[in-house]
Amino acid sequence: MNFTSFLLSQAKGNEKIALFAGDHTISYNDLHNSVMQLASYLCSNIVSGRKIILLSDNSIFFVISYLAIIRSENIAIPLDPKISDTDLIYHVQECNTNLIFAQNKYILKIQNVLSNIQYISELTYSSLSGNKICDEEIDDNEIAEILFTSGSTGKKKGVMTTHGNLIGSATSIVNGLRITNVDRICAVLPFYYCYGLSLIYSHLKAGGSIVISNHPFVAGALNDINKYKCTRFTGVPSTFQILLAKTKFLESTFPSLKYFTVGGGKLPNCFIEQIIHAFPDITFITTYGATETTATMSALTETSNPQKIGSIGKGLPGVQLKVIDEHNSDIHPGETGEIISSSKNVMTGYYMDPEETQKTLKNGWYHTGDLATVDDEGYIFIVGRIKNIIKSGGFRVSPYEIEEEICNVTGVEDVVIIGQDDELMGEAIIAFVKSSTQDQETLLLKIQEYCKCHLQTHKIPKSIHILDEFPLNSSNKVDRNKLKLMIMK
Amino acid sequence: MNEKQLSQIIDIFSQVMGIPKNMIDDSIAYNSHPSWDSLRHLELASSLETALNIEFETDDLISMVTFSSVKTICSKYLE
Repeated sequence: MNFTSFLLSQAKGNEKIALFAGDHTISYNDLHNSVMQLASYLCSNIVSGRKIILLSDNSIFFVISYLAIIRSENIAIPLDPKISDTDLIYHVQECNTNLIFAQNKYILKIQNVLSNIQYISELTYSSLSGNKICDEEIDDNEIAEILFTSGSTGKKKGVMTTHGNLIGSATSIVNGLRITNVDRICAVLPFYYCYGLSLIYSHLKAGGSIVISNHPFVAGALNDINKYKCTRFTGVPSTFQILLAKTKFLESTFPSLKYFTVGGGKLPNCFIEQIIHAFPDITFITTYGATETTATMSALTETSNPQKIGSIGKGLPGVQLKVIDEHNSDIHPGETGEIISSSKNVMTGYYMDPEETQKTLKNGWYHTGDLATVDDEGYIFIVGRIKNIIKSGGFRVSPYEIEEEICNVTGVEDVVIIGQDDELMGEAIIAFVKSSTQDQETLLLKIQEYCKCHLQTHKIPKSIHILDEFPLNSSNKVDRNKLKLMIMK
Repeated sequence: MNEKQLSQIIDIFSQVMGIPKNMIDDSIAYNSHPSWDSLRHLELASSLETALNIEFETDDLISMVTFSSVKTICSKYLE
C-alpha cells in the first residue's frame, strides 16, 4: 500500500487539526485534500519513480510536499536546507533529478548554483492540480524516500526506504511508544532527517497532532508546549543539554506534558536523572534508531527503575534486536558485542552503493556498528562504536568529510578531526591541523572562515589546534588518542 | 547604546552569520535568512554577552528573531 494512503486513511472528512505552525493550522481533511491535489498534479505531469528533492524548514509546506511526492509514486529526497552549494550540486547530479520543492528563501540558492532545474515553491504549490491520481496500491518494496547520511568513510550514503519500511516503522513507533489520538507533539527536530520525519508520520498515523515549533532558541519550544497543551516533547541529547545549561528548564512546569523522549545519541545519565527528578509525573523515554532502520528500533520506557537508566531498552514491537560477538553468536550478559537488527523497517540498501550495502546488511540483519552489552533481563546498554563516527547535535558526522574540506585551505598540510564530549552538542568537533606556517593566527582565521562557508553549522569545529607535527603511534599512523589527551589537559 | 556598541553588535552579527556588514539591516530575520540557525543563534548570544559584558535572560534569547530585535535587546542592558 502507498505509505501516504496508509497515513491518511482516516483523514478525509476529519476536521481535527493535524498541524499547528505559528498562526497557521491545517485539519486532517484539508491536509488530505492538499496532498491529493498536489499528488494529482505530479501524477498527471511527471512519470512515477522520479527523485524529487525537498528543501524546506519544518513547515506545513514540507509535510504536504513530502506526502504528495510519495503519494504520486515518486521518491522524496529531503535535504538539509542549509546544505552547502557543493553538496546540493552533488545530490542533484547523483540522483539525476531536475525537480526541487523549495521554500522561497532557498530558491535563490538553487538559482545560483543550478541551471536547468525546475522548482516548485511555497508560493505556487497550492495552485497546482491535475486530472489523475496514482493507484494507492503499490508494491511494499517500491522506494518512497532516500535519506542521505554520513558514512564512516566520509562518502555520503543514500538510505533507500520503501513504502513497506515506512509503514512498518510507523506501526512499530505508534505501538511501542503508545501514541494515541489525544497526543500532541511539540516538534523541534528537523523533518529532513529520519528522527524528525518519524514524529510526523507516527502522530499522523495515530490521529494525534503536531505543533511545528520553529524558534532560533529551543527554549521557545517550552512556551509552545504550554501554549498548545502538548503531551509529548522529543529531542536529541543536545536539545536537552542546551535547555539544562542555558535555561531554567528544571524549574518550569508543563501541566499537559506526559512524555519526554530523547534519541539520536546518548544523553548522559546525570542529565536524565535530573530531568526525571524534576518532573516525576512525566515519563522519560530513551529511544535508539538509525536511518537504515527507517527510524526508531528500540525504547526504554521503564524509567522508574534506576538500574535501567542509560539503557536503550528493548526492540519495539515488530523489531528484533540482538547483540552478537565476532562469531555471530548472541553475547552473554556482561559481554560486549555489536547490535544487529531485523524487521520490516530495515532499508533495502544504499543508493548506488551495493558494496556498502553488502557490508551492512547480512542475511536480512542490519549491522549497526554500535557496541553494546546486555543485562540479565535483556536490556541493551551501548558502550561504544565500531565505526569512526561523531554524533554532533544528534547528527551523524564523518570526520573524513570535514578533514577533506579543511585540507582545501592553503597552508594546511594535514587534518585530523576528533569528537570530544560536549555539554551542549553531545560531541563537539575538534580539528587538529598540521602546518609549518609561521603565521598560525592568520591560518586559523582562514580555516574558520572557510568552514563557515563550506560546512553545515553542526560540522564546524568548536576548536582548531595548529601543530607543526602530529604525534604518531607505533604503526606510524596519527595517534588520535594522544591528540585527545592533548585537549583534555 | 552608543556608536561604538552598535558597531560591535554589527561586527559580531556579521562575523557569526557570515553576512557582509553592508548587507545587514533591521529586516534580517531568523525565519527568512538561510544562515541563521539555532547553533549560530547560540554563538551570537554568547559572543554578544562576552563583547558587551552582559548576560541575557532566556526570554531575550527567544525574542531575538530579527537584527532589529537583537539591537533592542542589547540596548536594554547597555543603558
